[in-house]
Amino acid sequence: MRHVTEPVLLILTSLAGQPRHGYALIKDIQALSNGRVRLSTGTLYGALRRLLEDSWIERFEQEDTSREKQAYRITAAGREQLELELERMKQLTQAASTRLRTSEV
Amino acid sequence: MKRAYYVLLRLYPRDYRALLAREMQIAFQAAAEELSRNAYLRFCFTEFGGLLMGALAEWVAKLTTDSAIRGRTLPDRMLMRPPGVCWKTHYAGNFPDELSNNSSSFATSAKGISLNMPPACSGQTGGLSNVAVSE
Repeated sequence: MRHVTEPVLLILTSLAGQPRHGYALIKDIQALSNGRVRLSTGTLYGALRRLLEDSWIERFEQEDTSREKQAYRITAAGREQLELELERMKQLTQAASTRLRTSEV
Repeated sequence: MKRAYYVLLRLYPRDYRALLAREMQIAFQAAAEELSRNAYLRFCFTEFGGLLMGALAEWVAKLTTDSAIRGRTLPDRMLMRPPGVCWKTHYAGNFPDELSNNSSSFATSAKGISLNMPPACSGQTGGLSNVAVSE
């Protein structure tokens, strides 16, 4: 399984809801992380390029936006990868919670 | 600041710029318009740092990734066959002898082909059937 960085995880999570273009992604990721993460355009588009290469997301034409605003949407492979990553995080959270509880006793 | 951003974008590889630079400019402009003066300076600092790191990462990716794999998402437009140039001529020199024999007098690079439109193309459509080929 490929390592998923935080920007990639946030981008996939954002696109899991609905297709978005670049600036909408920046805003949504800021909201998702409660203002903690604000991706620069360099980081965002670098991650988008890698995700396109891996076919985890795809470009598509959105009818209600201008032609210059290219929208992106998650693919089936990207959704599967996001689910795997969330499962991994759940297991980690459970393990950490269990250890915290046992150490308190 | 916008001008500085555009200049820094030129640090990226050409194929990356061809696909994503315009989108990056639009996203930068949209984000910059919403900020106050103090926040704007901090924002620019972050953006420029991100661009420098991003350009470096993209060059490393370009140099370490097979061009065939990279070409799936970032096709090199210099390698694309121009309209009106048949595939045999465009790819002359890149295929076995039987294909390149007929076009040995022609340039083998895409740049050369665009300058020397060969008569051999006249019978082939090359993607655009209604394009007249000079003889």
